[in-house]
Amino acid sequence: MTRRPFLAFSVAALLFLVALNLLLALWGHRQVYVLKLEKMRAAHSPNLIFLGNSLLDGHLDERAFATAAAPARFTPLNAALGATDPPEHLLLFDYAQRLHPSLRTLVIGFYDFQLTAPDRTQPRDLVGNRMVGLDHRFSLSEVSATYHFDAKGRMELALLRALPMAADRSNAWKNVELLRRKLAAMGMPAVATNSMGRVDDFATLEAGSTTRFDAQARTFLNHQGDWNASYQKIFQQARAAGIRIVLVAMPASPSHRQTYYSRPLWGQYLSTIEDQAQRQQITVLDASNWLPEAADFVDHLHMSPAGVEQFSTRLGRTLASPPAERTDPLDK
Amino acid sequence: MKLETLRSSLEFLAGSRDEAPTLLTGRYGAALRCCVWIAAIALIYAFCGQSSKFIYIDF
Repeated sequence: MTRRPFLAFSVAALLFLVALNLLLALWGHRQVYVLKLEKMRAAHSPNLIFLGNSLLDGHLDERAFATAAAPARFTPLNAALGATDPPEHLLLFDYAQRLHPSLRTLVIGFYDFQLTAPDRTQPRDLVGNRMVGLDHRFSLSEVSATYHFDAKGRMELALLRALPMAADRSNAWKNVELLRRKLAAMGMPAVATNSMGRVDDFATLEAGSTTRFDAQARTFLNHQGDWNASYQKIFQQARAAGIRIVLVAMPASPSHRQTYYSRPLWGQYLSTIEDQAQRQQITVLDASNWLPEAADFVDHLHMSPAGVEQFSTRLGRTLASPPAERTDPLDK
Repeated sequence: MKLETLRSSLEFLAGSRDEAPTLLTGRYGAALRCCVWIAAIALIYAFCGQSSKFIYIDF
């Protein structure tokens, strides 16, 4: 190839890549995490914020909650976002605090060892809803500090933030995966699905074995572990702003409770968490056994619409009642 | 004739033929070659994540 056509091809390729990045940047405004950030921005003077993952995102009936908690006059903002980890919760909390100084109560829904598991996020992990970390509402230095990235990580982060084509790759892959699943399902028995994915896939988010589950509890108990670094920072910021903190062990399916939460080490872990929380004026509410029926869950983790309403109503009633009137064993 | 042109074009694009066929020469040929490479980039971009494990598909 001579120099002239090569230059022409290079310019054309460059233009194509620029156009693709611009298109992806425009399309990015419709992504779930962006819509959540916009919802947070549009909220009108909320005084209670929910943080967590998919166990709360789309699984909280805000109206039922507010009605049940009428005496407390809560105006809830559900900032929980599916498929996210504690660092994203910290970013979302930062954003909410910046927008709404009216916040007075913080409710974090947790599952298994979420409160104390260490963060090990790499820039390549910031895909899907975890792309909150790539959003330009947050400065590069703030995000780097949140994820504890080193110099190389910061460079990768800067590159991902500059190139929508790299940042949005998993969204393109997701659509290919959906196409692949559609083709694979042709002529095959129907696979149980819900709005978030395939029902059986969510089982892989559980510990997998009681040995592994016990090992996680033992690691925390033996090393007298502390909160996850992101939650620790959230708690500090909340306390500094005079925000009451409530940790809610989210409703677990009967099979999860029977397999994992009946383990003696889970009892010890939860009790240690409770002591630690009490010392820091944090309320712990064990809602893991609030929904005893398997029919209250749509998969291994997530509540059904009926379960959501039941949970939201009970949570609202519990949070609105004075501490002395509460009956939950772990709620101090 | 058309099949022969297609074959020689594919061979040229794949590198097994040195001489570009008439379809891929001249101003329109250059544009066509651009389109081929753009399509290749787009397909590679879309399909290079096949080893990713998707649990949540609602983001």
